[in-house]
Amino acid sequence: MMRSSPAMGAHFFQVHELVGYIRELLTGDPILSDVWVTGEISELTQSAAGHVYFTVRDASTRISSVMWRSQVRRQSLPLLPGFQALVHGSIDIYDQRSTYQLIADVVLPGDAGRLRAQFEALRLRLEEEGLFAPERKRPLPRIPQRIGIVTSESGAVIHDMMRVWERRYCNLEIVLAPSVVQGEDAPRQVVSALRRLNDFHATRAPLDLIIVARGGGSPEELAAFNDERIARAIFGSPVPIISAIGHEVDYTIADFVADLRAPTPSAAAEIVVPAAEDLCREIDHMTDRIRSAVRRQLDESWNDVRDVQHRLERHSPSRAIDAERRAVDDLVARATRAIHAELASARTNVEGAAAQLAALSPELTMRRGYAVCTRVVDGVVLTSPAGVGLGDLVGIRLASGQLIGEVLERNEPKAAGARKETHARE
Amino acid sequence: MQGSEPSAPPTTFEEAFERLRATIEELETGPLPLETAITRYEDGMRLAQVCNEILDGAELRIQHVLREADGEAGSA
Repeated sequence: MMRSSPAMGAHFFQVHELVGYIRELLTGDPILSDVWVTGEISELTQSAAGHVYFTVRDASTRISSVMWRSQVRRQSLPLLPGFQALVHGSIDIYDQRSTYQLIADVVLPGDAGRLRAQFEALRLRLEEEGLFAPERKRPLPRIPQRIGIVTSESGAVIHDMMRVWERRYCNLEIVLAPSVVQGEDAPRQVVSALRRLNDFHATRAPLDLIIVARGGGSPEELAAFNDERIARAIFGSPVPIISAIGHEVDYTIADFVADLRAPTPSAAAEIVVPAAEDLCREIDHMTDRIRSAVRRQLDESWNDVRDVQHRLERHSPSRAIDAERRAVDDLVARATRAIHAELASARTNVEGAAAQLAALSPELTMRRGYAVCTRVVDGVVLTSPAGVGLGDLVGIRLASGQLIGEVLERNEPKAAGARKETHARE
Repeated sequence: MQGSEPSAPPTTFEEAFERLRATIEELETGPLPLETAITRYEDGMRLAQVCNEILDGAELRIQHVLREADGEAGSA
């Protein structure tokens, strides 16, 4: 890029080459790419595209500056002519006109540097002291009942928060301790409001948490919340504290000490309560769980009852009774069989005896020729002549048939061996 | 019904909600005597109803405004 002539020791450039060289020098310089400059803002214009052109100057010197549209959008402090400012940016060259300028990305109030330094010093000191320690951050209740608020009574902040709660969850008791939230008296008033809420908490009704809130504003307006008194009051509060100061990008010392930092007051209102509709769903879900738990338990109880019933049936006395009954039947059958046998044998005996008896009957004897003699008048069997007189009729019974005879002679058995039949034949 | 109530009725939503949760825990973790389980069931249903009633009837308002006492203003 650079043309040089060694013979003459001189450097020859095209214009754009020279400008390019200068640009490389400027943009390659680490200091010039990250500078803070204080001065008054003047000659302020905004292009149709949204870029803001201005001059930063002091008593004798000035430098052209531009803030591109993308940065303008992020700039919280309004840029006004005559404003004493601290501008941050980098130095670059605008090629066509070959002018260097400050490309600004942040414009702060003129004493911002001092404030920033104070802020950093306090932050470091309190951090070393342990005021920001993560382990001292207290958990917040999921469903708070009573919430203390420190904020301005007249500002939009309290109304914004109330609107969030009206929409999201309104079963809340709000205890407001009004305080101004900017200006010189703000730190004292915020500390006093915190004390009133802590007194209320101790003596009247417990607070679940306290929100210290302030809407968006310039760093100067938020500066009260960098006050050490507020930091110590937050640190000493027995009630957990949520800080909700300014917008999401703003950090104050109060944010570091608080148990929780919310990006904005409305966000704080959202964070601290559950949504009522979620709770309703949760309650429905819980009643379902209760129902099924009890149903399960009832089923188990039914099963237990059935189980016991089955076991009871297995041990029922009716089985034992059946068994006894079968034993009795068995015995009866055996007894019956025994009796029948007995009877049969008795019958056999009787038949035997009858046979014996038959053998002893006189008929057989009479068949051999013996006869039985009876007295006819009365049928008495005669065993001697004494029973009849001469002329009496006697019956003589033979094995078959009968004879009637008359006693013609009687031989008394005086002489042994006398035979009557011989006389009876006569 | 009222006779089986083991403790005082809840006074706040948080209390009712917590007790509802505890009731479920009790029912879901251990086998309870059936009598107790049924009592817990009744308790749970009643608590859920209380929760819903509180949510339905809730109305947001600022209950207290604690202003700086006159004497306090300059004292801090």
